[in-house]
Amino acid sequence: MENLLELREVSFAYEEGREALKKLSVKIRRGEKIAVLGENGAGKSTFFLLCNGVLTPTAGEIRYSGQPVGKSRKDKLRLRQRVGIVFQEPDRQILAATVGEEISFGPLNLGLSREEAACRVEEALRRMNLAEFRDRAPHYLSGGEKKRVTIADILAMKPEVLLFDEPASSLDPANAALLERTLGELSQEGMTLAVSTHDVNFAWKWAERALVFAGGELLADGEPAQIFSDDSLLAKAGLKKPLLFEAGEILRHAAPGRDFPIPRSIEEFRAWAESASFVSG
Amino acid sequence: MLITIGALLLGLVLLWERAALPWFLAAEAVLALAGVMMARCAHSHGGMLSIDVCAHQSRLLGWNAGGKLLFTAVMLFFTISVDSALTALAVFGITTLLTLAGGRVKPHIYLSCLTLPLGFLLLGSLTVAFELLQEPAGGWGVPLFGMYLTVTESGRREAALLICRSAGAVGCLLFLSLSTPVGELVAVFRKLRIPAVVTELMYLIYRYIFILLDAAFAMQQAAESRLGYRTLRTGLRSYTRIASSLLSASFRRASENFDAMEARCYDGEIRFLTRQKPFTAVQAGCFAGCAVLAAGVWALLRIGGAG
Repeated sequence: MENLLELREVSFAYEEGREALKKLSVKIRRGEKIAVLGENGAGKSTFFLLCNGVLTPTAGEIRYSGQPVGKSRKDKLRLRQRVGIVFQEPDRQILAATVGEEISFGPLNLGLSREEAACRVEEALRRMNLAEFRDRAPHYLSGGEKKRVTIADILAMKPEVLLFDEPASSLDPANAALLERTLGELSQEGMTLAVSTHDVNFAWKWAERALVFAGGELLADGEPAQIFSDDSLLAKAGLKKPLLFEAGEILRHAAPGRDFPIPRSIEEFRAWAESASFVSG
Repeated sequence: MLITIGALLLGLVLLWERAALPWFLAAEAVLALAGVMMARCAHSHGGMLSIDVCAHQSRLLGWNAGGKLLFTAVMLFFTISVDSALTALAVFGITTLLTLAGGRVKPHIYLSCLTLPLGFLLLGSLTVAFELLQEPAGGWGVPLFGMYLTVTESGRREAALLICRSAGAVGCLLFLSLSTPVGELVAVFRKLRIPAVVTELMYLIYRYIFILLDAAFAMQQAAESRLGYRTLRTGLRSYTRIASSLLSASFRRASENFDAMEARCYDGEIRFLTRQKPFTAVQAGCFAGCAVLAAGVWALLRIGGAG
């Protein structure tokens, strides 16, 4: 698969001598679904801000589509256009007085014409089911609606990579489920997604790849199955095992040789349990 | 509080020595009661926030912001320059009517928005009526430093004119702020070629008022739930702590907001796609009618020879 974003030995320090990220090397390929795991302060948000050029690495290099991203304003703007971040707190991101204006902020910054920007706003509103909120003030919307506005904000800029910083942390279960559906739709359309989260169950269900951060370092980068079976890694990163993963492991342990599959979702688990292999096996 | 003191002062300045003592006392009591009622009304709503909510719910929201701004500016200059208290009061009446009937703003909300500015302007304007003279005018005065603090007839008239003028101005501004969200006003200012630095600052300051209010409210609730306001002493201490941590909190939030703007390719100028709201003949007619009405009141008073 084509390499989109590449970080080579990138370090970053908010203040001199205290590095928030140390020698980070990672490649993000087109169409990937990546979960970014780690405790608070492990460096996940810093990683995202570096990926989109809001922060400049103190050492190392960032490449996009093979091209190095320099320190010039033009290079950074190009990177920000390709890589969008949906911030954790909608209130920190939302700027304008109506939802429609809010979504138009990004496209207008890209230097698009009024007509083109209006087109993009319409499309983003439709995509996130926000058409009826167009003239409403975003600060008076509910948490889930605000989250949808912030996603529409970024979609209107048509990025290739979309980074979500702990998207479910302020959502109720119904809205979290809606968000999962949105994430599914986006990756079906070929969007490259990275989601930082504390919810290991979600990561196990959704991600194809996981990055584990701890203390500013990338501890592990690999398939979720491999990461969640490594107990010492999980302890070091302060992570728990996903419930279904653990249950699958217990089943395997209890009946060695029967090679139970480890279900990713409850639906998968049900399908398997109701199928012949469970009854006859 | 402010409005109650202002109301009492109003009674004192206007009615002292003009009405018999029982009437005077009765009037003072009525005014104080009105002041207390208004203050209570204002307390049940967060004034600042409700102004913004109202602007978004106003029936005049769909009207062209430039038109509303022009009307407000014209009425404002008219009120301030006119030398007749009654005309200024008429402007206040017209703009109030426009806000209440035109914008469908609920009367108690309007009253609560009016309380604070009215309290300030009563206190501020009424002090004009007082003078320090050698002899008490009209037979009474408070002895002070060997002179008398007293109310003269001309001072009284001046204060009345000042109050009416400022009430008219407040009416004009409330009409604008209860019908037009700040975002739209900034867009109009931008069209008028006001420098980007100014409009941008306006917009950001407006945004941060909400962010700060939000943070302050949350901290106040947290302090209250830990009995931070049990006595006056602890209340003062909680208040100062909230104020100081509000500063650091707002710095942090500002930098986070800036990051989020940068992430969306912010290039030093805030632009939004504002919805076009045409300036229709109905709007123009309504504003012209109101302006003519105010001018008519002024002309009639002029011809009639009354102040």
